[in-house]
Amino acid sequence: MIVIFILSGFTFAQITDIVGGINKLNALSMSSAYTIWDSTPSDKVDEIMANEEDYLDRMKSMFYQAQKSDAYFVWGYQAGFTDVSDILVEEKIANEKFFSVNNFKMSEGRSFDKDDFKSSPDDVIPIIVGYNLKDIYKLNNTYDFEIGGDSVPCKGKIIGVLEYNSSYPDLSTLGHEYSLNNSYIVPLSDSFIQNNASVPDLDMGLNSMFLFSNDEAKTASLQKYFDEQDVFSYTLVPVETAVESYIDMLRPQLLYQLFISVIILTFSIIGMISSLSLIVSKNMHDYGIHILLGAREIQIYLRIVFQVFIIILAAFIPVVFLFGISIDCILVLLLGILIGAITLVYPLYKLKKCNIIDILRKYE
Amino acid sequence: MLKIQNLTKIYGNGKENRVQALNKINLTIDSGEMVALVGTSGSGKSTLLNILGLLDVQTSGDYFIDNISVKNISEKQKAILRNKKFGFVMQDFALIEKYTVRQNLEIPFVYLKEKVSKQERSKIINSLLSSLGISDKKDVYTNKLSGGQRQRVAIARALVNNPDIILADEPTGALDSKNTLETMKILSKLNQTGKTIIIVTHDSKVAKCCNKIYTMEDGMLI
Ligand SMILES: Nc1ncnc2c1ncn2[C@@H]1O[C@H](COP(=O)(O)OP(=O)(O)OP(=O)(O)O)[C@@H](O)[C@H]1O
Ligand SMILES: [Mg+2]
Repeated sequence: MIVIFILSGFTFAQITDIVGGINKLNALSMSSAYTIWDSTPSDKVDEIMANEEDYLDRMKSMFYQAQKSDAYFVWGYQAGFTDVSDILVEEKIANEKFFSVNNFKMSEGRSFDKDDFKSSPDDVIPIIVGYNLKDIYKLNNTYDFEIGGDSVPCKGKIIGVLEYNSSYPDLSTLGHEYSLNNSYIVPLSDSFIQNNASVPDLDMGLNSMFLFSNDEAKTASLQKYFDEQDVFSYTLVPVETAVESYIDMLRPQLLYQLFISVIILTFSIIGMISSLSLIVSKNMHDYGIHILLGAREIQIYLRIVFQVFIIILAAFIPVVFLFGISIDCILVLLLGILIGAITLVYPLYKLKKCNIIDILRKYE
Repeated sequence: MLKIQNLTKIYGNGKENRVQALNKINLTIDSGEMVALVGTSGSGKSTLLNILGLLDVQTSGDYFIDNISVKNISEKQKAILRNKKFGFVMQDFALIEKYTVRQNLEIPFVYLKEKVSKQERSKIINSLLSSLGISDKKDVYTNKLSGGQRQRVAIARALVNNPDIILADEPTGALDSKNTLETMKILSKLNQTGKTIIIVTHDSKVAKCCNKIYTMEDGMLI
């Protein structure tokens, strides 16, 4: 019983996850996606690189503007080989939007939350590592990192390990995926942009940008903003087909997971109803004896109601411990009450319909 | 005190599974009688006893308990009568196996309207058990008892609330002749203290112990 409850708790958590994922996909497929096409002439690039300080503030404001337009960024650097197992480690810098679009699953620990994107390189920053790095950067331990193009030294604490073969799609190239097995991911914060980012950092970031939007005026105004800054020649170009095909690939996977979860849930409901019914019918003969000796049917029925709900509540307590007071936990409780109510129809029918002799005889 | 008029009981409603278990029975049982109901298997003895004990209801006809028609008795009052007025000894004993002897005997107290103190309950239970010779089994689970011992527990439980009428359906059906004799001695003794006793039985020796014998056939008294 308890096991079934916990199982359905997990299943609920999964279903809410999957439905969330499907909703997100639908939202994405409704909107157009844009990426940046960089057509800066080489003499302009040389000029910018020679006078970085002049351009840095403008680059930052362009980056902020793009962040504000709800764009996602992920870009990376090679962080060198590990001593232990000769893996070429990559550093990825990604913003919050990137994580909300790509629903990464963790094999250990947790994913980033809102506050993680507000950390500063002066503090200990939270870091998620790819699966192959889990023995080098151990969960909950703190290590020295050097982040960004300028190798800003900082301390990072490992908060999560990605599932094996986690990857994200290159939305501008059909079917291409970047694996994150050998990467560690740093959450992109305003503080990093403000204090630690260089022009090449920001250029890499902006080139990695993806923008999902329905609002043509908004994209047009972002384009206009880019043009006015007179730095790199960035053009927002739509990338419909790649996004569509990515969504078409993800959707059946999610639907399949949903299907499996619903089946598990159905079986757990059937399991719970039958085990509760078994308990009730096992006791039915004894209830008949109570009626024989002067109990009223209503007293017996209330007793059954009480027993069934005590069992359900007892089974529910571990769910609260596991999930806390969450929406899944409330759903499990509602499910439990529903199951209790369904279970109780049968003894109500028996007590109303059968006389005492039938009850005594049938359940010997 | 118990009076039956034109009592008919029909089980089932379709044409095929319709069984007329009782057919226009008339019967009066007075206070203090010890009555045997005999008859072939399927003649309707248990059906009659169950209706007498308010465990079942007739299809037509009337049944009066102390001149009150059962049609005018509410479910709540029927439960009270089952608790106080009648004591049941069922053929299969109807004991709760996961309870001890004492716990089984406590059940009639639970549904008694007037509360009985713990000491009083203990006293009643102890004296019943010792008069039936099973005091030593008080804390034994009933599934560990022999047939004869269970029989005595069932009789003891029927007597807990000091009922006027004891209804026994084949009380000796599962017992050997020695235990049968013992049980009949107990029931006769109870009859001598003024209790009305109605016994359904196949055993002519058992029937002979009673003051009156009614024979049933095909749902009728003959
Ligand atoms: N719940 C029921 N539903 C349908 N028919 C029933 C039911 N109970 C009894 N009967 C039928 O009513 C008739 C009388 O049954 P009853 O149990 O009263 O007989 P009996 O005289 O007690 O028999 P036995 O000596 O075998 O116990 C039988 O034909 C039986 O099949
Ligand atoms: Mg019978």
